[in-house]
Formats: sequence, structure tokens, C-alpha cells
Amino acid sequence: MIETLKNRSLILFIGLSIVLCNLGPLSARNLDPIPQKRLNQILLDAGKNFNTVETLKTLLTQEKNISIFSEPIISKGFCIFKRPGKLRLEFTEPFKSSLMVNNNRVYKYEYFNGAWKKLDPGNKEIMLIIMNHITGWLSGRFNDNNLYLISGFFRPEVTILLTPKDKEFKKFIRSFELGLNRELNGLDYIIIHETKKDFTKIEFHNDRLNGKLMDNLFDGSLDAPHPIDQW
Amino acid sequence: MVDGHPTEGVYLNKQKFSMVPSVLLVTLFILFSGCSTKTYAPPLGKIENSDLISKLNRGVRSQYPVRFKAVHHVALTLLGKTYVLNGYLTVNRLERQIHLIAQNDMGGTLFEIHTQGRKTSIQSNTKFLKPSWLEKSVVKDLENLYLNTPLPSPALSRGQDNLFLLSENQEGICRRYLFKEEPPGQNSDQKNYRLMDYKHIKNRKEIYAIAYTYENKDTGKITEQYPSFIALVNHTLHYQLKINIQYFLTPSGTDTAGILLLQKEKRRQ
Repeated sequence: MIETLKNRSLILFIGLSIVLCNLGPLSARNLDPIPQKRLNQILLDAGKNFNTVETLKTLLTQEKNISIFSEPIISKGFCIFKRPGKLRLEFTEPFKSSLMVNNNRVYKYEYFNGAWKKLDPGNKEIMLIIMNHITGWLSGRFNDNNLYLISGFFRPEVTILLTPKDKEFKKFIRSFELGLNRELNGLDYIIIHETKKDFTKIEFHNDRLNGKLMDNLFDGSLDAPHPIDQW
Repeated sequence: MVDGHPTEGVYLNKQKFSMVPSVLLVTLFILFSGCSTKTYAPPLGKIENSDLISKLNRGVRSQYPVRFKAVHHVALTLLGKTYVLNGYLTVNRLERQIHLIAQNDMGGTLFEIHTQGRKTSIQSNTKFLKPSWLEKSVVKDLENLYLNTPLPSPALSRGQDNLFLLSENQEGICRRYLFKEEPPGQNSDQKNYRLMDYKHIKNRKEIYAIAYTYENKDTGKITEQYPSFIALVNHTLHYQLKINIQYFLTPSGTDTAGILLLQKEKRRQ
């Protein structure tokens, strides 16, 4: 299996699949589509606004809706971002897990049996692809025409829908739905529409923009993620 | 096993057995008892108490509710590299039914497994996780975790530190369950026996092991009714799993379901 895992094309495919898991198409709801010309302007404005964000510190709540569970599965965590190229995505409940990128290097930590453990992940390439996508979205770069068809809706705020072009990718992720905030300078939520009716919604709250974030918060050379001040 | 390979004895939970003398005693107990008793003289007693044997043997399957849902947060280590997955799981032990949806921890379903009775269907969305490999690994792991059956006629040995070893040879493989006796709970004078680990031994070598942890390592208290952490190693297929578990239990009477399970088991016998 490892040999196959090392197959670059497959890795890229899986990476794409995962990325597509994190975005999703808007399902058939009564939504107000944004005309293409206006959408282009919104994307341009949002790109400029997002570009003013040097640092971001936000709590997140993930709600996973999966077909075999009648109840949503809730996870909590946080995300911190520092331009350029520093991103840390960490879950704190119910399981502790941390993923960080620092200047194109990926670090992965998991908390098992009472202690953090630094992993040597077998899918670093995938993680880097995913994290680069997230970094791109946090920087206001949504319109990657090579990967996605892009459309927009008001629900009521601006929602960007990214639909994968790749058929294999679509087997994993039908679309990503990015909910922009009213100021068009940040994300309120991401919905990943997966296979069947499964979807994952990640909501961001208590955002703090352009506060001071020390570089050591992204230091992957440590045995455990550097502690972070509580919100 | 948590941080590497287990030794050729039993996996020792370092947190639970932190005293060196205890470790030695437990190791000796494991090495010289159970399935090894035909080769080595056991330093600790073999027990002929049929009631206790029967109780522990039933305990093999009373470790979990009859029906439950759970999330597994899993680190799979294979040839030195680790892959983190989330498993979404429904189990109905009465019907021997398990449904697992396994996703990459960042999202995206990698494979789905559905077993009911002797039928298993596997759907893999990735070419690198072949159904044949999943059947030998994940399906077997799920069966060993949740669908284990009592041993036909096991032997029981007692060791220090209130440890009990239930074992039996079956077709060249020794299946061994290690229990720890715990004091009776409130409103009961019955002793409790907690399953600590489960192993397959072949030619005196451990080929498969599951170790269970019930305590909250952050508080040091054993508060969990069901295992909160499982460490699994498969020496044959060369992989290890570390599994954090979150249960979703419904208040509907598991006791009633447990009785049904025992009745069904008796009918099979």
C-alpha cells in the first residue's frame, strides 16, 4: 500500500479529493444567484479586502453530517494564520489534533493517551495542497479556474460555490461552499459537500484580525504544538 | 506499543503499570501462563473456578453496549509513516452488523465497510486502499474489537496485581484475554473485571494485539465505562493503530439488548 501511496499521481488525486471535500456545491435550495458580472466584481473586492489581513486568529466549530449518524458530530478548534505562509489548524474537542504549515513545510501532531505526539505523516503532499488551498481562501483567492467552476449566491450574504471540474475529484467532493462575511474580508463558514448527502460545515467565530501572532506559534520543530492564549 | 513495537510479551500500559516490579510481575505472568502452560511451569495459579471462567468469558462480549455509534480518530502507522483517519461507526452486535465510513481527517470518504452476519461489502474510493487489503485488516480489526465471541473451553490463570488471563489454543493460534479485577462499585458487592488486552500468539510470538485504556490521562482517573483509547498492532500485516474513541450512546435499554444477545448466544451453542 505504501508503494502505491507514493505514487505521485494518486497522491495528487487524493489531495484534490480532500480539497474538494472542503468545498462543496450549494444543494438545490432557493438561493438567489449572483450574476456573473457582479460576481466578478465581488471577487475582486473581496480579494483586495482579504489582502489587508496580515494575521487571523479564529475559533471554529465543525459540524459533520454523515449518513449513518442521525445527529451531527461536533468538533471544536481554532485556526491561526500569518501572512505569508504560516497556517495552523487545530482541533481541541473531542480529539486534539494539530496541523501546521510554515513556509511550505508541514507538521502534524496528534494527542493520544495523554500526550502530544509529533507524527511523520505519509501524506505530506496532500496536506500541503490542502493547507495551500485554505491559505489561498484566507487570502481571498477563490477563482482557481483550473480546478473549479465558480458561481455565487446570496443567502443572504455572499456565498461562493466551487464545483470541481475533475470527475475523479467529484467522487469525493461535490462542491465547496464559502460563506463570506458582510464586510467581504473574511469567511463566516465553509461547507464541504461530500458524497451522498454527507456534508461538513465549518463555522468561524470570534475572529481577531491583524493582532500580534508570534512566529513560534507555527514552530513545527517542537515536540508539541506551542501553547496558544485562550480567546 | 503506543510508541513503538511491543516486546514479545504483553503490551504494558505504562501509565497503568508504572511501577517496575509490577511490570516484571505482569510480564512473568503473561510469559508463563495461559497458552504457555504446557511448555512452562506457571509461577502463578491456574484457576478451576468454572463460575469465574464463565463470567470472564462472557465479559469478552460485554465490554461494549449491544448497539452503539462511535467516532474513531485513528493514527495508522505503516512502515514508519502515519496516516490520520476518522472512522464513523455504527455497531449492532446482536445482529453482528457494523457499518464504517472512513474519512481522511481533513475530509473525504476513503472507504466504506458494511458487515452483516457473514456478508461484508467494501467500497473503496481510493485505488491505494484495495478491498482485499481492507478485508484482511480493517474488517478483521472491527470483528476483533466488537464481534468477538467467547472461547469454547478456555483455561484461566491468575497473576499478581489482580490480573486474570483467559486463554485457549485454536488451530495453532492462542487467543488470550487479560482482565484486571477491580473493586465492587457502589450499590454492589460484585467484583468487576475489566478487559485490558487481547492477543493472538503463534509459536510463542505475538502476532496481533489490542490494548484498551479506560482512564482519562489528563486527570488520571478511570472514568470511562468503555475504552477511550485503543492501541492495536498487527505484526503480520505490519501496521499499528492508535484510536481515540468518542461514543454516541442512546439511553434505550442496553440491558435488555444484552439479555437478548446472551439468549441468542445460548441458542447458537
